[in-house]
Amino acid sequence: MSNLEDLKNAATPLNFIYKLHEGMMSKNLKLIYEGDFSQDILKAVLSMTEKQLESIGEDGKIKKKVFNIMVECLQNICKHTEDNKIKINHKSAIFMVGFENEEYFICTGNPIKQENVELLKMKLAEINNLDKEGLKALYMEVVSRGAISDRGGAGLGLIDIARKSGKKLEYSFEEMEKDYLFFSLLIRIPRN
Amino acid sequence: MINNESIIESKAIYEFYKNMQKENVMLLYQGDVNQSLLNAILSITEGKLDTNENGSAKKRVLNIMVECVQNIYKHYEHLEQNIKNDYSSILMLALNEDKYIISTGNVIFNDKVELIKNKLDNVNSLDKEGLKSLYMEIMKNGKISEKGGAGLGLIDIARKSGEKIEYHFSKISETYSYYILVIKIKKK
Repeated sequence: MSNLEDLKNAATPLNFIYKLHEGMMSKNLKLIYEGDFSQDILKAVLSMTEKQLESIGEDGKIKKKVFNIMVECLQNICKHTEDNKIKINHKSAIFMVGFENEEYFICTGNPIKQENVELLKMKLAEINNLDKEGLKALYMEVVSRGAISDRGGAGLGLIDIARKSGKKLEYSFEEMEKDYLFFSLLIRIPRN
Repeated sequence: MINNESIIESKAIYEFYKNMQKENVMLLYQGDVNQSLLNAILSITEGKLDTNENGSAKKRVLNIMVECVQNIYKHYEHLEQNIKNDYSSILMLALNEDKYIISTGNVIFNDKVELIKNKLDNVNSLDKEGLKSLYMEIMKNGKISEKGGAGLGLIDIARKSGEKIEYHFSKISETYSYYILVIKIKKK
């Protein structure tokens, strides 16, 4: 066995992997995926999390919530990365799931086009402004209006996520190269 | 890199992502594994290499990925569920200027460490010819270790990579260690 301290201080891929491993443990992260998203990955990641939730004996209702929110998030990523693929080489998306004592959290991050940022920001702000009843009304309104934006679903996915999580959506947009921003979304799902 | 704050926030996602980009990570999976997930990762890898890689390097990268995936799974299936939940496996593919880097991390039993370490040191001490004859010898003798393959997998990895295999073991309990492998493949 080599010395752990030596490894931490060395700038090598070994060190990088070790830090990843440590970081994951300290953040209570259970799953990280960074790369291209395919249907197969989507299915595999979902079934993996389902199995883990089962193995810790999570309550059925919570399990369903986590699972549904994951599906929405993964679909969101797929939607955004599909048209980014040509323009941004090797700029993949990221997806993480973590468990803590009090809550689950789901994180997504992906590059989005500058021109889509304003609309998305508005949707997020609108959603975070509403309480439970407000979200329900908005959901109904969007469904009945049947207005489907070109990014699909008129934000239905986000409204649905907010309703299921019962918490405010946490998000940030960070400058990337020229026409792209990095959109991070963090969703917390209380365990009680 | 994820730092040690206990509470994650949305900005941390981008920090993490930037670190990945800095290391030129093409693909990273960290978590519990099963066969269909590993297969999905292999097919993603294939797709990613397709567009920008010549045949030979692509084949070597894929072959080594397959060996790595089998390695992870071989150790994994004997673990208890609680250790599977607590200690994730890692599979990563990165591309530095002229090299692909494949890394794996997974839990193994302490009593396997010495054996694997010896195999790795042995493989690392040999040159191309030496690796070839060791490979042939094991094939001929048909010696199959109880974990399968008498280290054939590692020999194969070393032959295809053409570089020394880097590794690290760290003890996590009386029963388990965490085992990290780093394999480099020249693009040529």
